[in-house]
Amino acid sequence: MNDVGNFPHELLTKIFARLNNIDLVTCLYVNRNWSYVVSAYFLYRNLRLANTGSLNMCLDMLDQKAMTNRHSGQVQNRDYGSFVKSIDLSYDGSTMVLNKYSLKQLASHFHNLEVLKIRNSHDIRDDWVTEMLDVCPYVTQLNLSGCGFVTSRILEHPKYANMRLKLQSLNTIFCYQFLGRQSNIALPSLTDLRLQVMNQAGFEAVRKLVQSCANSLKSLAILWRYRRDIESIPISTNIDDILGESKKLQKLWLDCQTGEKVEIRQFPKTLTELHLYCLCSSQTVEAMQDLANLKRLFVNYTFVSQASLQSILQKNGNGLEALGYNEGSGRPLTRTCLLPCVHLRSLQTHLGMNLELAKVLVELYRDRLEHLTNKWEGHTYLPSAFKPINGLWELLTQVPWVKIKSLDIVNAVVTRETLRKLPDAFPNVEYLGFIISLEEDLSPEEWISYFSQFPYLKGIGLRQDLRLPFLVSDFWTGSYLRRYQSVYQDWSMNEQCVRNEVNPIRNPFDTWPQTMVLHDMASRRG
Amino acid sequence: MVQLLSSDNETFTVDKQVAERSILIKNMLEDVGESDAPIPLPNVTAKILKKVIDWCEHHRGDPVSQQEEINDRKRLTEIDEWDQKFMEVDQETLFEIILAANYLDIKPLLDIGCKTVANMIKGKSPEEIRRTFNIVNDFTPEVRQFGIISHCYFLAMLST
Repeated sequence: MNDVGNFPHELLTKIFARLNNIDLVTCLYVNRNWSYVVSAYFLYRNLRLANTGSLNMCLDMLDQKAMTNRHSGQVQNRDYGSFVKSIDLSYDGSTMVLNKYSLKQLASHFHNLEVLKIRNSHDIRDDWVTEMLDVCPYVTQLNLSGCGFVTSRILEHPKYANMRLKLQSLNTIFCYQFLGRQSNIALPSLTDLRLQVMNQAGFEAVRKLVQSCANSLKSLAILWRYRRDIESIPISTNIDDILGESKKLQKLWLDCQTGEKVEIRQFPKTLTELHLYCLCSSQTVEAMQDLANLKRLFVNYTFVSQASLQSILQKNGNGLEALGYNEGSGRPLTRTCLLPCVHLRSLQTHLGMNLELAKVLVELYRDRLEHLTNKWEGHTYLPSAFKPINGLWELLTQVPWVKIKSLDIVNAVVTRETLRKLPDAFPNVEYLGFIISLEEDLSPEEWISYFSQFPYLKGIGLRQDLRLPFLVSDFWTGSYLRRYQSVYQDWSMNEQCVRNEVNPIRNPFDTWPQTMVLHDMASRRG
Repeated sequence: MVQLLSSDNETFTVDKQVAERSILIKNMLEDVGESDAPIPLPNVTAKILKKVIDWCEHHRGDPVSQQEEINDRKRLTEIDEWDQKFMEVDQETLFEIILAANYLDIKPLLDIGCKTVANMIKGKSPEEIRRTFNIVNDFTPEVRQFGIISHCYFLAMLST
């Protein structure tokens, strides 16, 4: 009993949870008991099949495993496929293209699947999905965002009645045809719903769907997209209609690019996170005054006046942990807006408008902020707009920001001089996101020695045209890259990786703040 | 005061507050109510029970059942000095403490035990781990060979 090799599984999982991936894989080869625990509770739990060919490799391996076990007569509990609870088949540019048969073959191995992600697979059709669902009856989370041809028919069939009752999460953002017509699915256990509205019929369907899960829904993301050439009737933007009786809603993401103003009389009292990518009616602005429980607020292209924003933040800014502010018009966040937010830990805005904002940050927020994103989301086609105003980085890097754990520099031109100053100015950075242009790119070796100057670095997000990712993502390069390689994989495997910027699919809620990811990772690597 | 009876029939008298660090004992006391009879702990020997009581005595002031903040980097691997000393015991005792903490349901102690073992695993090869903990390699030869080939595939497939 007191031999650690034969410890009960429950205790071994507690020990292994504190190891990093490399140590975990080592434990796989210690003895059969450990091997079982690592396989069942860690290794196979979440599979991501992203590298070209890894789909076949994986299938081969599962078959081989089965074979080996048959030969040695140890069949008991060695059905590795059944350990898999979550699988990610998303297309990210290098993945093997899925087809109907590979999907079916995969699904037959993973019959205990609970989480299924097939993002960005433009070829995928309804019957491919239903054939998978037929053999995976325990699916509770379904992410099909970016699968343009998938429709709500996949869930309508009577045989999925049980699955509809249990489905907790559904993401069909950028599924242009999902809910494009009269549809009557009810998903009463849904806690997380993200979808897209293309026409008025879709809006009605969303309304019914949200009503069916009013008692459980916690987060909701809606994107309005309007095909002017096809639809002549404007889509309603009345959120009160949709929210109806949803009394548990905590996160709301509204992204409306139809030109209509979003209308809402009252936000749910339970709301803690609000993302707006839309024009707001005066009524909505009025309703925003009453967001007492709000912890995270992201305001983008709302054209809410500075005065209104000030009074919103004066009333509700005290509890705010994260604030994002990007106005297409190029108005910077003002000092008076920022001052009421005394507990702010994350800030995402464009600093390069004038030095005043940067000065306030250095003076008042330097020992508070943990996450800083300097992001320019305006006219990305104007490179000159990315240029920081003179003195911005000099000002920011004068004194070290000891609390900053994640630093994102998005859409900016950065000089080598600035780059050189970052390690001293942000000594405790764990995540570094660069979507930058350098006037002169560094060589891969220079990048590696650059990153080694951040002692706590765990993840890097880089734009694909910088040279490093190719090198580090190549599995067969030298072992000196091991550290960055695993780090990079960790991040690229999370949807939160900055690579999303290159990726057309933006994943609501998960892109910001990065706190969640960092903590997840911390709990795994130790 | 509460009396605890170890598996080898040794009785320990401890403060109720100290004994209640163990959720198992706490629940037992609530179920039984006031009673002078010693609580039998058939899975814990006197030697280990004494260690566990020492630990509970030292940590009696700690807030009970604190929601552990996962987001604190330090808490995951770092162990405070007293606990580190406490855990400087031979392996058998260490594993018995872990098993006892699990049985008695003392989360913080179990946590420290797991951290200690995890720290012993870190950075070692499978063979080194086996030697450290005296684990027998019970794989069949086919599996062993297959293991080496698949090692790098696993690494490539791992996701957090």
